[in-house]
Amino acid sequence: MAAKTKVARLESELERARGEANWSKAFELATQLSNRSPGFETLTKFLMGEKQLEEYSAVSKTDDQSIAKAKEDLSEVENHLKEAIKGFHLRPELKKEAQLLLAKAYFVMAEYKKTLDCLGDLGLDTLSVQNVSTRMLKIIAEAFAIKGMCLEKLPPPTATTPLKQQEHNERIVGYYEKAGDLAIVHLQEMDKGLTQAVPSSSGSYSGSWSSTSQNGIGTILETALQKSPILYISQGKLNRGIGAFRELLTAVESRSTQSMRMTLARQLAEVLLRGVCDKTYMPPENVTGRKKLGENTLEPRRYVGSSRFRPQQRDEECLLLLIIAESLASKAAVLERSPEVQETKEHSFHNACAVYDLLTIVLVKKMQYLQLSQSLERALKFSFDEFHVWYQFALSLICAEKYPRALLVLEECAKIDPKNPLVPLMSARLCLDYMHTVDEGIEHAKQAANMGVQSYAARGHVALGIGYALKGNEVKLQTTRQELQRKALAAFNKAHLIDKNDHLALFHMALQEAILRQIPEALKHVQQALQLQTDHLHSLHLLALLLSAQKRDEEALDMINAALQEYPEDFSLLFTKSKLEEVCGSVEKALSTCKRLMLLWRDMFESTTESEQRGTGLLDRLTTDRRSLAQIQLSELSDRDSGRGSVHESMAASRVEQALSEVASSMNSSLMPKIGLHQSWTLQAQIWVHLGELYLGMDRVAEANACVTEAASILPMSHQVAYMKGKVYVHKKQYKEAKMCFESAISISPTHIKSLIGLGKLLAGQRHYTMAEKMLKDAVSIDPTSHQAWQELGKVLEAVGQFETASECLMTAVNLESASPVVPFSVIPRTFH
Amino acid sequence: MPQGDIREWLSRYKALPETEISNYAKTIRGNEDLTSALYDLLENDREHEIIDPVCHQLFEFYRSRVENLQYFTMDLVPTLIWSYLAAISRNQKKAIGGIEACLLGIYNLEIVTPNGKPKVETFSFPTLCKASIYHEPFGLAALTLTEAALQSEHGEPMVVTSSAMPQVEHINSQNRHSVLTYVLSCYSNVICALSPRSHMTACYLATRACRTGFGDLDRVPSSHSTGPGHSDHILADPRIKVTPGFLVELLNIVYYVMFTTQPQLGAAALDAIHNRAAYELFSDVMMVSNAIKNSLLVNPSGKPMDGPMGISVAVSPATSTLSFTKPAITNASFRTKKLPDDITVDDADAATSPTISVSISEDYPENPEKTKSGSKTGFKPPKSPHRKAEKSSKPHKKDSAKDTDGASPKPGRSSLGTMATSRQDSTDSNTNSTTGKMTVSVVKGQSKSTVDSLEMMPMIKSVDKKKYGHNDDSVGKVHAERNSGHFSQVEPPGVNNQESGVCTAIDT
Repeated sequence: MAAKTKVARLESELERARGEANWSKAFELATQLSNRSPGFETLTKFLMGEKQLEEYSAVSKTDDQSIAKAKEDLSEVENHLKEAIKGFHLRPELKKEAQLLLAKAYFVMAEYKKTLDCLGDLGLDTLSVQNVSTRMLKIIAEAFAIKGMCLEKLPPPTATTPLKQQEHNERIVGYYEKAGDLAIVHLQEMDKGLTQAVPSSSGSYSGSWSSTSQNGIGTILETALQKSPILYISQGKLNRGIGAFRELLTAVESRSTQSMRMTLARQLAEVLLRGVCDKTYMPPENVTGRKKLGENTLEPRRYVGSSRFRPQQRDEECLLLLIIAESLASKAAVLERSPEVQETKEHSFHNACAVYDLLTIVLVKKMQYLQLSQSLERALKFSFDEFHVWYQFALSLICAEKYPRALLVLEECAKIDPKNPLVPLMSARLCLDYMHTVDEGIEHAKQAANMGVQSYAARGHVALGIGYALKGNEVKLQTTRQELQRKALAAFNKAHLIDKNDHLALFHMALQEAILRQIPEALKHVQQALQLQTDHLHSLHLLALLLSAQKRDEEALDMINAALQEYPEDFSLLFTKSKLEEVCGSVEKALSTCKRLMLLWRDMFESTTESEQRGTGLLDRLTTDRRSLAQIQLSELSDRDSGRGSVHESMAASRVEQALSEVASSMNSSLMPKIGLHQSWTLQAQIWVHLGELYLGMDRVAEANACVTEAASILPMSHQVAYMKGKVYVHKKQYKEAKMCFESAISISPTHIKSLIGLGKLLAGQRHYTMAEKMLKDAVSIDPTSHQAWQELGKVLEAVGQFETASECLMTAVNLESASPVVPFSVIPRTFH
Repeated sequence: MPQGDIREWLSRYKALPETEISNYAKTIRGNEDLTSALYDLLENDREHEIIDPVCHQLFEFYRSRVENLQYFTMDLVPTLIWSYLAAISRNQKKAIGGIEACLLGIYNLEIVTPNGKPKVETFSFPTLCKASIYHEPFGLAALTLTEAALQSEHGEPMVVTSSAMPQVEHINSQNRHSVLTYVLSCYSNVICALSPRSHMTACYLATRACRTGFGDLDRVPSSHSTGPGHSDHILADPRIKVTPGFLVELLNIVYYVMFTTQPQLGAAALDAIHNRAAYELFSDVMMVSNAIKNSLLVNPSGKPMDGPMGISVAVSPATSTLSFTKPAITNASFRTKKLPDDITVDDADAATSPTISVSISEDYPENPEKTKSGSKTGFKPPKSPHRKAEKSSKPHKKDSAKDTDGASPKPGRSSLGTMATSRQDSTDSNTNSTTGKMTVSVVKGQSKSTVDSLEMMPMIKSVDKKKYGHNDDSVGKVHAERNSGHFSQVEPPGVNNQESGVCTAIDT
């Protein structure tokens, strides 16, 4: 009796070992059994065959050589199994299993005909799969897969009509689908067994690392699972293929299907991206127990329930699939770096990369840069020294406007691939355009320029020139500044020599020449730039300013008007236009331009600034008032020190992008910075200052005062507003207050040249000549091209009796004035676009 | 005479009675002669007098909202855009008034729904935290605990509603590319229904828009043909202005096309866009082109020639090596484990302790024996009296911290060393008390058998906020919160600067 229970126990243990694909253990148990009673000899034979076959097929490949080898190696298996089938003492189920395994052996030997015969003898198609052991389930699943593959490999029945051919194909897919379903059911059952066997609380080293789960479900089933959708698609039945993918993916996940699942999710995403457009996309339907279950099918458990997220658009489904695949892929990525796992590591890395690449395509389309950068950040963990991932991460950070971090990541990229010229070029641009770290930018630009790839070298020289030019604005020493300006010009020249078709190099060259007051050269180059790109905004603006520097104000105005035709919403152009109109003597027009500025501001920013109300709302009243503003004067548009000029430039330029940036479907933001709340208010204050100046020029002090008050209520701590206040006081001859205003403007911005001149003039008027001289000398050294500063300085020197120096100063002033534009050239930003 | 076809087409449609339109629509796209003539006309003869009526009729087709007529026009859109951009770049605006009007008309039609309301699109961004038809939320719970992961933890999928596109009255430099980009996106939305020839012209558009004017630069190894009839005067032509949005849209089209109808042309177009984006330093475009190029290089995603849509059966590599060795360490190897029950967690400390960043790295070559010896001692919590004493005497924090350091078997290494060594890994924890950073490293020495597993306890919320900053136990503690992703906070010995705290995830 005891012996009998012992045998029963051994038998069930044996069954479990087979279910877990632990062949050695199963074989051992069988040997134990046959030792007990001789009736089990056949069983031993059977298990011997099974063990050899499974171990062999786990590592076998399908090329011709290995097939030939398989024929030799598996003859023993064939014999074992044949004996087992003939043997008397084997249970009938085991005989069936033996027969199916024999078919598998034939299949591995590439004896497809024999395989089919073997399966046909057994009546595979009608075999019941209800209440069979997990091992049997797997064997049957494999048998279906094998049948499908054999039918595919063998030539189709002769004399086929297209209809017959189609039927044949359908049959093959049918077998694969059945194999897939059964395989999934098998795995789900295995999982259930696992969780029962290993209490999850023990947590530690659970069975998930046993050979089955690690090795997946075997090549045959894996192939079968992927085959059915692919077959549909290659037969041109795209929608059925997608349906087949969806069926597989809606099955409840089990531990050992994770890698399969990742592949399937990725493949479905690929199919959707490469073969479906919004027009033809059909969202997944609610799957609720599809077909009736026959005796010989089993239905895997599926994710059901109405509360689940169900994608409605192609990109939603892609994204869902890809984030699932991403989480699986990054989990499976091998972190270890020892040589033994090199192959696995590479495989898992490439798999993960494929998912990240697809994710990039979808997320960039949807402009979700932040999410993308977070995903890529997770990938870094297993991407040591992998340039592609690091570089993509850096780019995603740039798009997400995380510039300092992007710069650090780019440095890492440069370490991985020091020869790539794009990396330092990108870094240079970040430094110069966004982060204002000029010295670092220059260093990167030098690298990029010297790498020897022509086009990038050209852009590298442009970057270098921009860097030098920006730095030239910062330094105080005249000689250093001249040196830098010279270098900048040389860099732009070089860029132009390398890349003659680049309008940017020409434009920057012209801008630099304009600042150096080489007006004719500048004019020539900016016209060349405009030939290369007819509608380059900054070139158009520069051209207008150059014309005004030649005192061709009417032409300049025409130019500005033409530019405004193309860029009707550019603030900077409008400011210049208003100033030009004033100079041309039509203050009325200047005022109406000012009103246009206000209307534009309201249209653009009213909605975004609602959250924060500043000022008294005078702008609203003015813009709703239909009378024209009868006055003003142009304030300076930008400060060379704070680079504010670039703020409204880029603002206007990015206007379209900004307005469209929420349109997730089609638009992609360029790299233009978004306009912050504060910047938009600054802009409004600038409009008021400008208007105030216009009024003041018309001697309408009350209005000017109102403008300044409004500006001050919007931006109390602005040097421009303080300066304007000072000017109003000067006009009212309240010199003490005026002086205070100028002084506070200078303390807010020590390099504000207009305030320095204003203060100098004021002091001179009060006969404080020494102080005045100091102020004006400061002004001259900050901007040696300011003719007002030279002029006032000359006057002061004259007053203190230094006539010779004074006359020199005045001469300089006259010379400068003859080439001075209506607004400083520095309102035009030095950027890469 | 090909223009005969065009003239006939112009007059026939005008004379067509309403009732016959649907029949006409069905056949018109099949008229090879006509379509060839149209492609040719728009491509090569954009100053011909017939262009204006042709464009007008194309727009009429589009406005009819008859599907096939719309496709007829859409088929020609890449050619229209190319002719338009080429003319603009040469400042020949007058000549292409008709084309511009047609493109603008399509734009203005597409930004509204058929009943005239502005089109607004909604898009839900799926998250892993919400169950979907393809996954269970907890099976995949976010791998790393990032701020974003926490934010989305409670969330439904994020729904984004796009704002309506503005109506455009005339095209200028400011809005030109956004109009064209939008028209391209409409093209992309119906791309499956369009003809292979149209796909081809889309590739030409991409290649030429990106390459024109770059002939003198050595950047592109010109192994690909770049379309008909322009290679000789590539130098004379000015470059064509492109914007990032425009190129991204083109890339999406090219990606589709290269996997369906035009593998070679698609590849050439991809290269052209990639090089141009690099030249212009458009980071978003570069990301996409890098991604596509990389996925073509590395096999799992397949190449255009690999079967339908580049998809083929991807089987895991033969696992012969694996079955005999231990599996390699992956992210999945790190799993949480419950701490033994004998650890008492001080309520206040649990919540107020400075959170310390814990990162797990490999190849950390520090002495494994140290931690091994630590493993034998087991993990003991500090005696509570000691701790109370410390709390009462805040000024002596540092001294008492040192005391406890001395008392514990492995100063500065006790907590994590113990945890990990229980799994036989040699682990080294490294505390830097000035920055409050702690590193846990898995050392793979002779016995690189399994993986470390960090033991964790449910984190207990604090009730006593006053104690904040008073905690200076010398022995680190690990807490974990289980229900929302797994993470641990490790409190290192002697650290009393809670400002420096960062909480990083330990992957589970």
